[in-house]
Amino acid sequence: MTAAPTSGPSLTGRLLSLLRGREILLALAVVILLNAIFTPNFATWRNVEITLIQMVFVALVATGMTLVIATGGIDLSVGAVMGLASVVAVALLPYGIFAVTLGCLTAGLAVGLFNGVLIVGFGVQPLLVTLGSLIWVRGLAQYLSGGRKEYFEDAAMRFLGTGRLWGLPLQVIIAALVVLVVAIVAAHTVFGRRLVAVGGNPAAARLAGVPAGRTVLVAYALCGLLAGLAGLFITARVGSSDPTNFGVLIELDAIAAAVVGGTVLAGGRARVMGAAVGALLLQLTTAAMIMNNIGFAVALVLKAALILCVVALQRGRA
Amino acid sequence: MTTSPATRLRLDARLVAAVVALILVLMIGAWRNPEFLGSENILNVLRQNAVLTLLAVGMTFVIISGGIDLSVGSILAFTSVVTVKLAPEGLPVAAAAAVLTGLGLGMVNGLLVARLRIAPFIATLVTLLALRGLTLAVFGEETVALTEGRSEVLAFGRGFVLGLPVQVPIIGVVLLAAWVVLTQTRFGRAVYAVGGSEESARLLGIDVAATRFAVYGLSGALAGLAGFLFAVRIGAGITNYGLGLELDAITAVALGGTLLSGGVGGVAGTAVGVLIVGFLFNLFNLDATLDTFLQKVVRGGLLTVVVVMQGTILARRRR
Amino acid sequence: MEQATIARLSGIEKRFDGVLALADVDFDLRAGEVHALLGENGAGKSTLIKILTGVYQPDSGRIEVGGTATTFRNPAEAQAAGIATIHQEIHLVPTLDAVANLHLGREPRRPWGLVDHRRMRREAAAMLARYGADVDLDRPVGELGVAVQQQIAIVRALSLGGRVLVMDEPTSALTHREVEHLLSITERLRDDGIGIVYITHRLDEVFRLADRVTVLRDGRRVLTEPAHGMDRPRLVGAMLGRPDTGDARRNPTQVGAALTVLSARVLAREPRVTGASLDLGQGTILGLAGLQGSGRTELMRLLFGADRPTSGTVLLNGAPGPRSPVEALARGLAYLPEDRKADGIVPDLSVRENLSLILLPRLTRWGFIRRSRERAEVSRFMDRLGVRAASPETRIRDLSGGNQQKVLIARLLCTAPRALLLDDPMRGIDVGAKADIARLIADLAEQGMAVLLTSSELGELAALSDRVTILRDGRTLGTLSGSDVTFAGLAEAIAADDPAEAA
Repeated sequence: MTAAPTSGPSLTGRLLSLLRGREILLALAVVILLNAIFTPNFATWRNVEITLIQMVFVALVATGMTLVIATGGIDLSVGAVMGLASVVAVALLPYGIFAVTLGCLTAGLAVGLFNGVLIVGFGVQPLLVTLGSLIWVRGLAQYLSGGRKEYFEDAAMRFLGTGRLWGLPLQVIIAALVVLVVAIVAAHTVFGRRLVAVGGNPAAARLAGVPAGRTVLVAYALCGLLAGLAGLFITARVGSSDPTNFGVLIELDAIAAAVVGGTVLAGGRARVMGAAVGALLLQLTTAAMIMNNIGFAVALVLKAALILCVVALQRGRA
Repeated sequence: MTTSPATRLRLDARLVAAVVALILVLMIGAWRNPEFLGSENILNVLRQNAVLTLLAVGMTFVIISGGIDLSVGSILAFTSVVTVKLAPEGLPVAAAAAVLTGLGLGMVNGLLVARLRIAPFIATLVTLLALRGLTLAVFGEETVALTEGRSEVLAFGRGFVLGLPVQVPIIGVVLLAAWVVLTQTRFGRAVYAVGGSEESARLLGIDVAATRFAVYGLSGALAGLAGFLFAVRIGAGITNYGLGLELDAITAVALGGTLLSGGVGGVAGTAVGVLIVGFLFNLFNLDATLDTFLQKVVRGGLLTVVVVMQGTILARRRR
Repeated sequence: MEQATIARLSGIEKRFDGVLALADVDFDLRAGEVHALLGENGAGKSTLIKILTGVYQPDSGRIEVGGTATTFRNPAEAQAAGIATIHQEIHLVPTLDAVANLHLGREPRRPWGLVDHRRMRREAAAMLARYGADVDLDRPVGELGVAVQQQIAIVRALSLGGRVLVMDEPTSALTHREVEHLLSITERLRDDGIGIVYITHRLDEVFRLADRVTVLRDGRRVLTEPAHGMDRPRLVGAMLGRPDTGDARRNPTQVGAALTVLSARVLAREPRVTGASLDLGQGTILGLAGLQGSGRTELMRLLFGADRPTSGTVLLNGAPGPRSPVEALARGLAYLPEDRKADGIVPDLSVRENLSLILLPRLTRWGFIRRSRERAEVSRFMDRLGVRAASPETRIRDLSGGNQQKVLIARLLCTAPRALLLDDPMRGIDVGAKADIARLIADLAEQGMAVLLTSSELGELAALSDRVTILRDGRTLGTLSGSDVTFAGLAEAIAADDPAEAA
């Protein structure tokens, strides 16, 4: 007894309905167009590659952040995790690339679990927990390394950092795969469905039999894990650990990307692909500003304004 | 809050706990280091934590009202440079400019939270970001050193009044004024009410938006004053200083017995909280056994511990 | 002797998102009277009161206070006009003490703008004493009992000099003795000449206190009469629906021999549930009849495992009752919440996503949701229940109430339960959907499902149920069966004076 299907929509009608809720694609198109016109050297293959390479870290962190925001929470410690991961990476270098990777991921996972346990188990606000973690994780990273950057020479790491596979930068390929996998998990698995249910209406989710605590815990663990991966990548790219500077303020970029990509701060939605597009948008905007000699400082202000606008719009629509 | 005995008793329970913690820190410090309780060290600690005290007092108001202000560190950085730029016009002018700038920036926060109804953490996070950018864009370099009239300014910033560092009476006045406003004025009671239950406060006729707005403005103004004090002690404005100070402020407020969920607490507790944080880290510095970075871990860990403790207390009460 | 009218609402109409909440409602209040306002949830009581107290503005109609037509743009204006309210949720600031709450926003001041603590305390003590309220002035009110909080709220409301007091279900969380105290305070206020709008579900209070009674149902005024000498069953009937609602009743089968699926003995969870016992048999429909506030929802939540009882036992298929919703669902017991917006739907997700939420564990292969299977199940249930939606991808919040409800019921059926707890499933939905759902429930029972059902429409309950247990103030009072299960019979039973309560 379902209603009769709507009569065939026009092409524009169908396009519009596809775009609704995906205004970000429109914004992306606009930014690309403007850049193509005004920024020199924009429409080159080399430039595309550079853009993709530079957005890898934000994309990874934003992916994890999306999961956490979907539950109605936030994780401000992701940048610090990157710093910690870089220190762990360098420390484990003598044991080979697998140990390094495992170490970074474990470090991230551990911090994520720590955050999650406090939030789920003790009922503390996510903001406050991750605010504390932001400091002590960074401090731990600095303590373990004496606050120093450590440069290294390692063939495997160099390949991970700057190597190519099938003509494309390795990191871009891995990151793309990771984002894709998480996007699929968010959209097509039980976990993903439970995630948005818990964020959308925790009471209803519980009454429908969703194990809310476990679901939220996993979200924070994954967020930490992905931050650890980002830390590994940046260490490999730069060729050194940097406990003090890696990841500083990246949580804001991640939040911006997630929010711009359609994930609502109040929770209930997990647009992982949107966050990736958001990261791309941010990267293009930042790069465009640099190339057109608009300062890094102004970029910060614009980024802030962007987050503000999107959040305010979200409130309006709620 | 009324000064009736039982209420005072309740408030005192948390305050007493804070004071006990402070005494513990002082005792450990004295045991580890003979100079710890010496007048020179104590005065030094007071001077060094003046800035934190101002931030924490502002934060107290904001937190009691049920919000949070993550931008105070950035406001401090910005106003420290404003101070340096205007110091040649005389210190009172510089101070006024710093406070007014801080007030203006705080009012932006107030607008976002009270009028646009954006969650305080994201609103002040955005302000933090924008301010960092603005500071760099307007002032350019990282450290803006005071050149003209430097020695006079430093003489003030590092000077003494009646044997006390010049910051102490300033802080004393601010603390007293804050206490009076919070406990003895209608506005102060409105702040507690909004934090205790925004909905009830609104239905009881309190102008919630105006209260929120004022609270963030106040926090900004105090951060501005902090920027001034910082600049005159160092003789420079530093554009990326302060990142992390807001966390210390939050920790100090929480240690002093103010619940981060809002509606409860006070300035007296915050003062004790600042002393705990201040002396604790002074102890680490004197002791020199605790690595600077490990101190950072303690900083973050302290906040985490306090936050978890408050969370468990609240959860138990709710059940 | 008729007193002067101090407030009047005429022709009030109010819509929310196009849905009619109040249609052409008149209500007037006289000085020195207690005017009871009755009606089930969704009848419009709350909305009417919120219009009177300035929280909402009517779409059309007039408000008159003291003979002058006025409008209230916000609660402050209503307060200024002399209308004071005691809400159901106590609107005091829980972290502040009584003195602070009483004076909030109007604290007496000394020179320099400083608050006069001593005077505040003196005045507070005097005000409270005047109404016989015994209050610890120094503790945060959140720590004092609900009864005391209420007294403080009343004193504050009146200290503003109002002549109109609205009391919204003031006794719902009070003990017997506290209720007595409150009623005598109310009588004292009435004698002082205050006009009181008294909203309640408790008929005893109505008949003890009220001078006049108004009943709202489905957004309309159904009845306004003097309370004295009023026929109680008629009152219940006016609140709970038309006597001839519902389809032909399913044939009452031999229920005596049915296997008991779910039973409760002296189940309690203070303050709402005080001693409930029932037996639910396989293939039968047991109705739970009682007014709002009788503990219907709380009882169902206890049976489902969403809350823990403080005493009493639950047996599900012979074993102790479930301790969580997850366990309940796994054991074949499903629950449809009363408030679908708060507890039922995840508003931003699609119909499909809401429907399959419960089913998730069964739809997966290695954690992945098998989309094809999901779609098949979804469309099967959408057809079976007649869910009208443009497509399964429509956001559930865009559906009509009736269709949302069908989705939620479908969701429950997905788990192939053997017992259903349906909390007012037909509330707030259109007639067509009601008929569909009623038929579905009957069919399910015929196929062996055990159904526990509550309803705000007595007629529907009578039409569908094999047996009906009466619930009042959290206690089950008895069970009607066979030919006693009629609208009139149920109304009588609910309205009856319970001799045990007169004590």
